[in-house]
Amino acid sequence: MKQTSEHFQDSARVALARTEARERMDLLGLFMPAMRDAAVAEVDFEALREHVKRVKDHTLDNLEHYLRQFEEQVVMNGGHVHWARDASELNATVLDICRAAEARRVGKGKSMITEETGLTEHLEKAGLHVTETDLGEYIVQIAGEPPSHIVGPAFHKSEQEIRELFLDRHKLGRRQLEDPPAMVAEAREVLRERFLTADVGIIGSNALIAETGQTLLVTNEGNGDLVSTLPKVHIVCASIEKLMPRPEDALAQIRLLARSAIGTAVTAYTSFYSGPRRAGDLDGPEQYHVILLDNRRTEILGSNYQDMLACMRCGACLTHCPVYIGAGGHAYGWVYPGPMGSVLTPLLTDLEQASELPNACTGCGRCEEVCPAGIPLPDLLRDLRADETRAKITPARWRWGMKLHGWLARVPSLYQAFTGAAIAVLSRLGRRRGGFRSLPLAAGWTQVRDFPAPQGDSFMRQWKRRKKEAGHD
Amino acid sequence: MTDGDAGILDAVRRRQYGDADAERIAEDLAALGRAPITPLDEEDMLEHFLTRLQVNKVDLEVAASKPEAVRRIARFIYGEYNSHRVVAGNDRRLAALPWRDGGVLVRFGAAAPEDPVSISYARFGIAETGSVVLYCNRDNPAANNWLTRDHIVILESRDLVASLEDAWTGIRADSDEQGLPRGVTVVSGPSGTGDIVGHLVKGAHGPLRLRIIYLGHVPEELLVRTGFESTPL
Repeated sequence: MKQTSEHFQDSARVALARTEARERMDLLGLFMPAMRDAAVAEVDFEALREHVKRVKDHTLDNLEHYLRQFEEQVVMNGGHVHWARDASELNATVLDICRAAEARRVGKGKSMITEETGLTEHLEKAGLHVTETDLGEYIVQIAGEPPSHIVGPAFHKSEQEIRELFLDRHKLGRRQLEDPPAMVAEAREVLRERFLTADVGIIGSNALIAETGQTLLVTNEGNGDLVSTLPKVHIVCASIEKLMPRPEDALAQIRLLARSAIGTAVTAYTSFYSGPRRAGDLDGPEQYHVILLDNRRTEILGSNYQDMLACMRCGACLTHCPVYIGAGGHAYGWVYPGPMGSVLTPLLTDLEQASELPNACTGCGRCEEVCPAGIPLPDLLRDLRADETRAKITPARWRWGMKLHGWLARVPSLYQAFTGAAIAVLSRLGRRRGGFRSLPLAAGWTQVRDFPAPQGDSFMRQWKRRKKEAGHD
Repeated sequence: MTDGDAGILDAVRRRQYGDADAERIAEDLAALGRAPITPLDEEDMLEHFLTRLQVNKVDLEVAASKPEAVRRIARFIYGEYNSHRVVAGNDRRLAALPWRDGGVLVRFGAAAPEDPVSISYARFGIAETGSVVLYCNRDNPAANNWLTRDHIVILESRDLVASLEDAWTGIRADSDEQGLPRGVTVVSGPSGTGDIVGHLVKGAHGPLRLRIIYLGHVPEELLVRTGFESTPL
């Protein structure tokens, strides 16, 4: 998909001006964290997270071993493993498989990897008829929009917008579609035929199990299982960091994933697939392919950003992030929004083009607090900002300002004298009005709100004074 | 088959922190132990299972015997569809049920799009999550799990286990004996979606309803406490 991350601030401004959409996002920011909090209270979240993190660290530290084991097992189970260094290799491999199978219709389940590679567009350009079958993905597909959330792709659309979309695109005559259940029922009927006629089913995976060669699929709608089952060719697209050593490790992860993503202990379907139909099976695909995508993950491995490879794509950091809730998913301008997207997008695409994203952070730390993979997202965002400064992507005046601040901060006596004087001056000047409408070097602040006048002395001066007073007592 | 790794494994080896051999990696993994979860007591298992079924919006009927299970299924499909017909996989446990005596006409095979009801026999029930474990294999075609409007699953009380890991211990034993089935699915409710403005709707692309026939004894008081009704035949 075309990346527009460089326009983050403009896109966020547009999103903030849409009152109705903003109200929906505000609700999302209240509702989803409440669901998640209730669900994680059922388990010892910290202990589970620590365990899963240790297993994931171990897996990433020995990734070559586990990738080889997984490949061996898939082949032993009768499947076919393909490796893709980048998006174009993955897309080409899928197209080759489709052509070899003389496929015309493709049923797709949810897969962030294929969003990353732009697979649907690639297959459609080649003349294949591709249907997204996850309801949210289907809605944004027929609306011609990208997903706005990694778990709920159509969270940005109102009930009325979806109703109008269905009434327009489904040629089913006059009807009301009075509520969400009626719309879901209509989508079920429309998509049912697509499941039954698809020649190829394409789906992502929540984990790849090295010991058994199984691919894990966690869904609620059942669409992922239908595309994994009914078409004669089953293709799983996953990135190399999705490895887990044993089925039990994936089960431990599921406890955190479902609770963090949708606030339930478990989703309706948790399926482990391991190949084409066996002798005697009455259904199931004739071919089973797993495509393992790198797309710069090997550059992240072993770097300061390795922790990001533990991300399980639950979306909890999105709905807990005040910036995501305000700006909405589309403002981030690529596949992954929110805090995890602000780390991943620069790493998987281009630091310069995505340079606004690591700066779209208030440093509140909620993302790290709720992340089931224990990823220190605020630290990684800060490190990316440091990379931007080193690469001179940050504007020169900012860099000089930071340099000056850094120099000053390293000389405490000078720093305290300077800030003490500045605060004393501001305190005196602002005494009458209590704040400032404009200040030199602080236009970014004063353009949208008054800058409050400091009350009294600087912290250090007050500290010293009180210490002295206490000493006299 | 495999296409060759296009140099990805080399790149991984160069970048990863670890350089241990397979034996050492296995030791390190074993040392990480099991997930820290509070185990369910034997006596709490059934109550936990029923509570979870309720949360997961699963319908439940309790049958004291196999003939009773068949009669309950017959009553349900006749009440809902005015029919006696169902589809079921080739599971020997299903084949052995007294269908004819109960008035149910079973077609053994894979569900077709026009089949409204399918019946499966659970390999395990999981108290922790209120789930049933089903295989996708010759005994239970995958279509029977996802294609029909109503999915009925029979679960024997002796197959109820406490946790996801306990179920996997049994799955591992089955696989060692019969080979790994193409699919292992933990089913925890009817299909559903929240994709339209977060409104939770049960019945998306898979079954609209999941009905568990629990083959065993559940005290009346426990049924009521967990929000289910006792439904005499």
